[in-house]
Amino acid sequence: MIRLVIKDFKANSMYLLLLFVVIAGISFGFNISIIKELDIETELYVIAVILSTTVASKVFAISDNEANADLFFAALPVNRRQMVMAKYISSSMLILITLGVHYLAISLSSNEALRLEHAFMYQLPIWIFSFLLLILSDAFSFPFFFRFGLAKGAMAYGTFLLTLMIVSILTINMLNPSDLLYEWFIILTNQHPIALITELAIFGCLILGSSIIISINVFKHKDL
Amino acid sequence: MTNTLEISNLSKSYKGFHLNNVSLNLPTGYIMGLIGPNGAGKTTIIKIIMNLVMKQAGSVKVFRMDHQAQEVAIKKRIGFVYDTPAFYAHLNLKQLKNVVAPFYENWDDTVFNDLVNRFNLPINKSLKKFSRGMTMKASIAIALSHHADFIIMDEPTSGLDPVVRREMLDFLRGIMQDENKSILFSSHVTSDIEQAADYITYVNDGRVVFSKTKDEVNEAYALVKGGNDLLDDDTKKSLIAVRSGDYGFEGLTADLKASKKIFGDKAVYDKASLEDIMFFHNLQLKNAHQ
Repeated sequence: MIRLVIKDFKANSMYLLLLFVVIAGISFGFNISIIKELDIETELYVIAVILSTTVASKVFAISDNEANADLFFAALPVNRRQMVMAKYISSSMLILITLGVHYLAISLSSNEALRLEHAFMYQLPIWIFSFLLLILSDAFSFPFFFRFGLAKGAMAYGTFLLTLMIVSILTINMLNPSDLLYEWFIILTNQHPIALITELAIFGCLILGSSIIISINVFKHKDL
Repeated sequence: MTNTLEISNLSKSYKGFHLNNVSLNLPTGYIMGLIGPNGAGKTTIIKIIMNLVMKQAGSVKVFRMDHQAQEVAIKKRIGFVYDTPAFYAHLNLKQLKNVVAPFYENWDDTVFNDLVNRFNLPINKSLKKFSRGMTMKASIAIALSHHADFIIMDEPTSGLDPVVRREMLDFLRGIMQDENKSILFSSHVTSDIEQAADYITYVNDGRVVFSKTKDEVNEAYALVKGGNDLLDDDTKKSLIAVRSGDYGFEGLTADLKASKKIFGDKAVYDKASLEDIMFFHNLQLKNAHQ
């Protein structure tokens, strides 16, 4: 399994190098734009970080899809379970490294004034929280990719997210702010960051575990 | 005699295609050619052996182990070549080797380098710039550098020019000097199978028509030729299929002795090539569908 993870990094080292330069450029560029008073919204940067990390997490999947690599590597001494696990590990590592590059770039290119003005962006717990959220999103997406392949899987996952969003909005609109669920949500978000991260990590592990089991079952029976 | 590969009653259904109760055995130390027209089921059989496609019924044993339960142990001893090799095209052969080698405990760089030199492959050239022949050779070099006991090749000669194709077949023959190795390769080119295989398995329309030694096939099948006056409903039944014209008839028999009894000296008996066998079996299939 570890060999599969290593092969992902070995086979795509050039793409990764290029990707991390772009990632660092986004964070570095954001700080420069603020220093030069170009008036770029922080929200835009947050969206750029989320989008770039999501795309980065799928670099190996895109490369494998291009090369039809699953077919090639499935003929090597590995089984389907190992292939699935390796994809989860590789993707999680990419999320971690990409956020790490963002964090390093934004920290190294900042000055005292920036750190005061956008204090929340320089807090490590925020980045850990983002990592956990992106891992959670990844966990939700993987079964779709294993079931439908990369292109159709992305569409299916997009549809799933859209449906989830609509259902959530409708549910929130129907709930009275005094409702128990809403109160629970407020309590949850007002916790100490460490407690929130711990809870999210536990929840993430549960979702990730379920996602891995579903993906293994899907991929084990898939014709390549 | 031990079998490297044992397949029994293998079945798989796709939309518009059924692999029906396929059974075959490949003894250790021999080459088996899997032959059949395009879409006959050759690639599906090979992919099922490699657990790339899931069977619906039947059993597959490689080295006497179940191909799914002992998948990793089996694959360590298999060298597999795809009909259309799937590689990371942006890598060169050296980089690809560095990616693949760690998967095999028995990987042997000396063997790999020997094969690269023998095939005259550029080690630092991007794989996307390789010709079809070079890609196939690279695929073979990758597949054979870990001392595999069982080599499986899906259409290794398709799309190759005659020189490279001959080299490839000679190479396969060379491998068989080691009696512990076995080869299964598919092709729809009958001359490849006739040149290289010890065993021939003919697959058509998802069924195994026969799986025999090359000598058995040569002895069993013959072409029967004669005047149309020799043909009636009874004599036709002794032939697998017949085609006739103004010149007379030509048919394939799987029982030469029986045909000689029926047609006697009035007919001419010729050796049937694999191409003849495929042609008439296909004709039989078409007639049955009409």
